[in-house]
Amino acid sequence: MKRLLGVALGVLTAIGGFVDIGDLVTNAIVGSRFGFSLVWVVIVGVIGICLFANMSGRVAAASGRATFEVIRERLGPRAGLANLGASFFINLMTVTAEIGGIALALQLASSVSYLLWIPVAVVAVWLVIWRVKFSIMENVTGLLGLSLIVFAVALFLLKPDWGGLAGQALAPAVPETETVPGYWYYAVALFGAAMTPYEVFFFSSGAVEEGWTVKDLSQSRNNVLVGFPLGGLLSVAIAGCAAVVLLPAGIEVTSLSQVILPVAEAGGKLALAFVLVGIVAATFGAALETTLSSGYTLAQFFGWSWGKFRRPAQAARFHLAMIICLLVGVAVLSTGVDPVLVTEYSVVFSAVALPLTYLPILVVANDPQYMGEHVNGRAVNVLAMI
Amino acid sequence: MEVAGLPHRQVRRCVVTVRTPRVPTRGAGSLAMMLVALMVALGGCATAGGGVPGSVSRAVDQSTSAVATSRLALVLNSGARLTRAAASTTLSDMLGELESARASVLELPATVQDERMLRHQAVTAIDDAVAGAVKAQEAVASDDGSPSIDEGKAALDTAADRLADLKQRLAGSQ
Amino acid sequence: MKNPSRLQPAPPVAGRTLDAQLHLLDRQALDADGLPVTTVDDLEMNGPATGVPIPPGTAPPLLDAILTGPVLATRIFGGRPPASRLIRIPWKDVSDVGTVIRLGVRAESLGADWVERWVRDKIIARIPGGRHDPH
Repeated sequence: MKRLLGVALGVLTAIGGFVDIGDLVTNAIVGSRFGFSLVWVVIVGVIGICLFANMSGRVAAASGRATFEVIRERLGPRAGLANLGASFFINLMTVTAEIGGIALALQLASSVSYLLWIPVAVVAVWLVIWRVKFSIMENVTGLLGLSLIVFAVALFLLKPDWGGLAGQALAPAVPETETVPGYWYYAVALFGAAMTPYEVFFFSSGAVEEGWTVKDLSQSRNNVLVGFPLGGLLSVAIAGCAAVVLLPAGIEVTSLSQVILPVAEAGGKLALAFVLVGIVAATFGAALETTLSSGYTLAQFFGWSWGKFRRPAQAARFHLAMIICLLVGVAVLSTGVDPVLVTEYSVVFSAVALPLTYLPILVVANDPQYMGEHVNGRAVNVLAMI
Repeated sequence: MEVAGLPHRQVRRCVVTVRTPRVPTRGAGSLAMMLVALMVALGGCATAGGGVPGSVSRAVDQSTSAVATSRLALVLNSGARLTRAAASTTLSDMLGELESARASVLELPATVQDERMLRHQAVTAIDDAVAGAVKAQEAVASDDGSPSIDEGKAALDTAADRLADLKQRLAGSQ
Repeated sequence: MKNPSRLQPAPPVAGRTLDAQLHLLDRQALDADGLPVTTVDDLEMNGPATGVPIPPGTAPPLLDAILTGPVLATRIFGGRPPASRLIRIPWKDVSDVGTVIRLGVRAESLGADWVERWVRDKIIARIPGGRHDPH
C-alpha cells in the first residue's frame, strides 16, 4: 500500500509539475487563435520531454552525477560553456516569466496590482529554496498544481463539439484568420513550451538530491511515462477551453485574465477558485524549479558545492547565484514589462536553443563510460534525434 | 614522465596526450543560429506588412478582442460566475490593450487623405471601445447598481458594432 | 616537434597511466569529506620550456598542481595568466583519481576554496537560517 502511495505521489507530482506559465499562456493563445489544429505539437513535445527526462534521470542514477557535470567532462569546457550560456539565459527569462505568472494570478484573485505581488512572490520562492526540504517542496507544489485539472473538467462542462475538435486535431489546417508563418511560429513556440530545458537539468539534479539509485530508475520512468502525458493532456485541455469559448468570440489571448474566463464560464466561482489555486501552485513550483535549475547548472559547471540537501552554509555560491537570479528577475519585472510578453519570448527562445541544450544530454546518455549497461537503446536514440 | 609523490608514496605514470576532443555539439550552434533566423522571419511575416490599412486592421482586431473579452467578463460577473476581483482585473487588462491599440494607430503616418480618414475612424471606434470598457468597469465595481450591467453591455455592444463595420470596410477595400 | 610516430615508445611501468585530457581535466574534485571543491580547470606542469630543444638527460616534466579559477577563461580562449595569479591545488593533496578526483585534505585548508569560504562567511551566514539544515 505504501508503495502504491509512493507511485501515486510520483505520478501526481509529475502531472501537477508539468504545466508552467509558458504552457498556460502558449496553449491558451494557440487555442484562441488556431483552435485544435496545433495539438500534434503538444504530443510531439510530450514524447520529447519524456525521452529526455528519462535519459537525464538514467544518467544521474547510473553515474551518481547530475547531467551538467557530465556534460562538461564529456564535451569539454567550450561546449559546456556554450550550453551553460544558452541554458542560463533562458532559465533567467523563464524565472522572470514564472514570477510574473505568480503575481498575475494573485492579482486575479485579489485585484491588488501584480507589481505589488512581485516582491511577495520572490521572497516566498526564496524562502522555500532556502529552508524547505526538496521532497516536501516537490510534493506540495505538485499536488496543489493538480487542481489545474479543472481545465479538463471545464472543457467537459462546456459541452464542445467533440467531433469538430477531433477533426481539427487530426487534420491540422491553418485557420483562415491566420497566416501560415504565424501557424509555424506558434508551432515552434508550443514545442518550446512543452520541452522546457530547465526540466531536464532539474530532473537529473533532483535525482542526485534524492539519492536515486538504479533501483529507483524504473519507478522514475513510470512516473515520467504516466505523469508527463497526462500533463500534456492538461495542456490540450487549456487549449481546448480557449478554443471553445474564446475562438468563436474573436478573443485573442494576450493576458492571463483571458485564460481563466472559459473556466469561470463553465464552473462559476468554485471552478475559478480551483484554477487560481492551480495557477499559483504550478507557477510557484515552476519558479522554484527554474531558479534551482539556474543554480544547478552554474554550480555543476564550475564544480561548486551544490544541493538543497546541504545546508546553505555548505553550498554558499550555489545559494548566492540563485539569490542573484531572483533579484534580476525582480528588476526586470519592475520595469513594468508585460509578464505575458516575457513568457512568450522565453518560450520561443527555449525552442530555438533546444538543440544546444538537449544534444549534449543525448551524447552523454550514450556514453558507456558513465552509463555502463544503461546506455540508450537504439530506438530511444532514433526518436531523440527528432 | 613521473608524477610527484602521492600520500601513499605510489608513483604513477602520467602520460599527457594532446587529443582534440570530439565536439559533436559544434553543429548544434549553427543549428541554433538557423532556428533564430527562422523564428525572426516567421515572427516578422506573421505580424508585419500591409502598410497603413494593415496596421489599422491589426489594431482593430486587437480592439475587437478586447471588447469581446470585456463583454464576456461583464456577463460572467453579472451571472455570479466571476468574482469582482477577477472581473475588474480582466477589464483593466483590456483597457491596457485598447490603449496600446490606440497608441499604435496614432503612430501611423497619415500623409494621404485616405489614410487620414482611416486613422480617424479607427481612433473614434477605439475611443468608443474604451468608453464601453470603462462603463463596464464601473458597473462591476459599483455597489449601488449604477451604472447597471445592461448599460455596460450596451456600450460595449455599440463599440463592437463600430469596430466590425470598420473591419468590413477595411476588408472590402483591400 | 618530432613526428609522434618516430618517437620511441614509452618504457613499460608499474602504476596507472592517466590521460590528462580524459581523466583529469574538467573532472570534479571532491575533498576528504566528499564535498565538491571545484572542477579541474587546468593543470600546471613544470619542466622544459616549449619550442626549445631539450638536452638529453633532462628530468621529465612533473605535474605540479591542479589549477582552478580564471584559468578556465584562458584555457577556452587562449593565453595564460602569470604564475603568481594561478589558484593552485598542489598535486600532493590528491588521494585518488577515478570518475571524480578525491583530495586527501578538507576543503577548509585549501587556498583554492577561498571564494566559497568568503561567500559563506560574509553573505550566506549573515542571512538567518543559513547555517541550519533544511527542514
